[in-house]
Amino acid sequence: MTVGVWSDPVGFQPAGTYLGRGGGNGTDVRSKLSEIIFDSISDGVFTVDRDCIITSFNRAAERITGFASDEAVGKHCFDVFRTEICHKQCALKDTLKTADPVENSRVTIITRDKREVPIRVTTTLLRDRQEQVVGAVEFFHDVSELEDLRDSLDRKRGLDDIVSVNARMQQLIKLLPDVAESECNVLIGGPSGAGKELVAQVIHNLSPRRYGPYIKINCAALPAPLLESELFGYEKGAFTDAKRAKPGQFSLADGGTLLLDEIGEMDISLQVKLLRVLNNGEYQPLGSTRTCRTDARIIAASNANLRQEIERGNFREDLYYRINVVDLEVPPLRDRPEDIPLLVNHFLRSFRSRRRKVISSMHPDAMKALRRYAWPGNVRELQNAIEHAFVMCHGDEIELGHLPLLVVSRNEVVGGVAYNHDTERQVIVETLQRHNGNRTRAAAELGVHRSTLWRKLKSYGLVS
Amino acid sequence: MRVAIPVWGSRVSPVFDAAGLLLVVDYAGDREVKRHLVELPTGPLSGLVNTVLASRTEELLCGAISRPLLDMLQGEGISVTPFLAGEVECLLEARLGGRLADPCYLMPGCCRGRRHRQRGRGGHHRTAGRKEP
Repeated sequence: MTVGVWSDPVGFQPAGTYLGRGGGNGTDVRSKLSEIIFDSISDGVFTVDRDCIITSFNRAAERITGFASDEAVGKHCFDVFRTEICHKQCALKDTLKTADPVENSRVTIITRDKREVPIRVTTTLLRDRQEQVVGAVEFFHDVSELEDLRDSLDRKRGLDDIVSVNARMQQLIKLLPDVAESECNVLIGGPSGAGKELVAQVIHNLSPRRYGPYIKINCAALPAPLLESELFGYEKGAFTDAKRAKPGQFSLADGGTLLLDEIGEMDISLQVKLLRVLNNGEYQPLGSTRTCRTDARIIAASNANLRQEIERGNFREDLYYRINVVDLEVPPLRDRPEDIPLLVNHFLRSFRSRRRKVISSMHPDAMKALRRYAWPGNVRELQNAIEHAFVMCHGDEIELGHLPLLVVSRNEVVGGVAYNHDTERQVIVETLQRHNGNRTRAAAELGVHRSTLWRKLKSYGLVS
Repeated sequence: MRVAIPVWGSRVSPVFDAAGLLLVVDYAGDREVKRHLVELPTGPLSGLVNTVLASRTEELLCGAISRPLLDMLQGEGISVTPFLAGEVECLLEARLGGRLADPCYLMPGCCRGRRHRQRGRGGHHRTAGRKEP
C-alpha cells in the first residue's frame, strides 16, 4: 500500500471528527460516497484524533477485531486495538509525534473474543484541508491465514516449534544449539509421545548438517532381519526376492542425520553392527563383501530405561556409552501441566488452518479437565484429543462434551496421580460393545490412538 | 489479600502480556496496608507467570490478556479479572466497592454477561478523569 498523507480526497468525515469541509448537499453526497468506499475497503481502517481516541472504524476493522464500530468509536485506541507495542512503540503515536508513516509492521492483536491475531499495520497522518494534523489513520490486515500456511509449508522446524514454558524444557531448549553444533551422538530419553522426535528434528535443523538428509527409523516397528536390511541395505541376490540392490538408511543419511527411534527395542545382534558404525563409520550391506562408509550423525531415542535394559542383558553397555555422549530427557506432559494451555492454543491454530473451522477457544471447564488428566500418551495424546474435539465441535468454542470420553471420565486428583481405573475400564468396555468389538472405531470414539487402546485393553486384562 | 494490577502510567496496562510494571497492593479487609512495584520480565510467558507467582499475588486485575497466559495464571490458582480499562486507582476503588463489572471499568466489548453497546458513531465517550500516560 502506498503511504502518504491521507487528506480526505472526497470530503468524508469519519464519525466524531471534523476534517474541514463545509456543509451542503453536495458535501453530504460526497460524504456518503466516502463512507461507502471506507466500509468497502478489504483492509481494516480506523482513524484516531490527536489524543488517540478512535474516530472511525470501518467494516473490515469490525470483522478483524470483532468490535462493532459503535463499541470502538470514542475509545482510546489501546483499549480496542490491543497489541504488544501499545506500551512502548505505538505506531500511531509515533506517526503523530514524528509525522513519519509506519509501514507494514507486524503486531499481534487481542480481539474482542480474546483471540490473538497476527496483523500487519501501516499508519499515516490525517490532515484537514488546511493541512492541519487532525489525527492519524491506521490500515491493517489479518495475516493469520498466511502465517498458518507458511508454517505448514515450512517443514524446517526450529526452537520456536518446541512449545513449552516448563523450566526443565527451557533448560533443554537452551542446550539444543550447542548440542546441534557439536555433532556428537545424542541419546534422547522420555516417554512415548513426549516430543523426542521433534527434539531430534530441531537438533538436525540447527546443526551444520541441516542441508543434508534427515532420516528417522523406528527400531520397534520392524523385525530384526528387516531392520538390518533397512539400516545397512543389501546387494542383489542377498536373499530371496532381493532382485536388485537397495541402499540402506546409513547410506541415505550420509552427510545428514539418522534418528534411531526406540533403540532399546533393537535386537542385540544388530547392536554389535551398530556399534561398529558408531566407532568408525563402517558397515557391510547384507550379502556384500565390500565395506561401506557413512558420515551420518546418529541420534538415538528411547522410552525405555536403557540402564535397566543393560542390567537385564537386553542392551549392550558399550553401545550405551557410545550413543550417550549427550543425554537429553524430555519430561512427560503430566510433569509440565503449565504447557497444556500453550499446546492447546498451538494445536487449535494448527487444526483451524487445516480444517477450516472457526474454533478459537476452549471453555474453562474443558481446559480444567485437560489439566487434570494424566496424559499417559503425552503431547501426542493431547494432540489427538484436540483433533477429536475439533471433529465434535460445531461452534466456536470447545466444551467439555467435545473432549474424548477417556479424558473426561478420568476421576483423578490434581497432578494426575490417582485415577478411577474402574470408570475407565467401564468406558472402554461399553465403547467396544457399541462398536461390536471393532477397536479402530472404538479408539476413534474414545479419542485415542488404536495402539493406546490396545495397551489399555492389555492392562485391564481385556485381551489375552 | 494481595491484589496486583499491571500499570502503564496511571492506567492499567492495555495488554498484560506486554506489561512492564506490576503494582502489588496488600489489603487487610478493605484497608490498604502496603503497596510496591514489581518489574515484569520480557520474553517467554513463563517468566511473567513466575514473577506473578513470586509476588504471591492472589488476585490479578488486568487489561487484555492472551488466552494461554490467562489459562496458565488461572491454572496456578490465581484469580484473574481481565479486560479492565481505565485509571488504576479507580479500578482498585471499584474492586473494593464490588463495581468492577460496571461497563465504565471494562474494555469495549466486555460486558460480563450484560449487553452494553454505545449508540451512535459520533461522540467521544471518555471516562471522567482519564488521562493518557
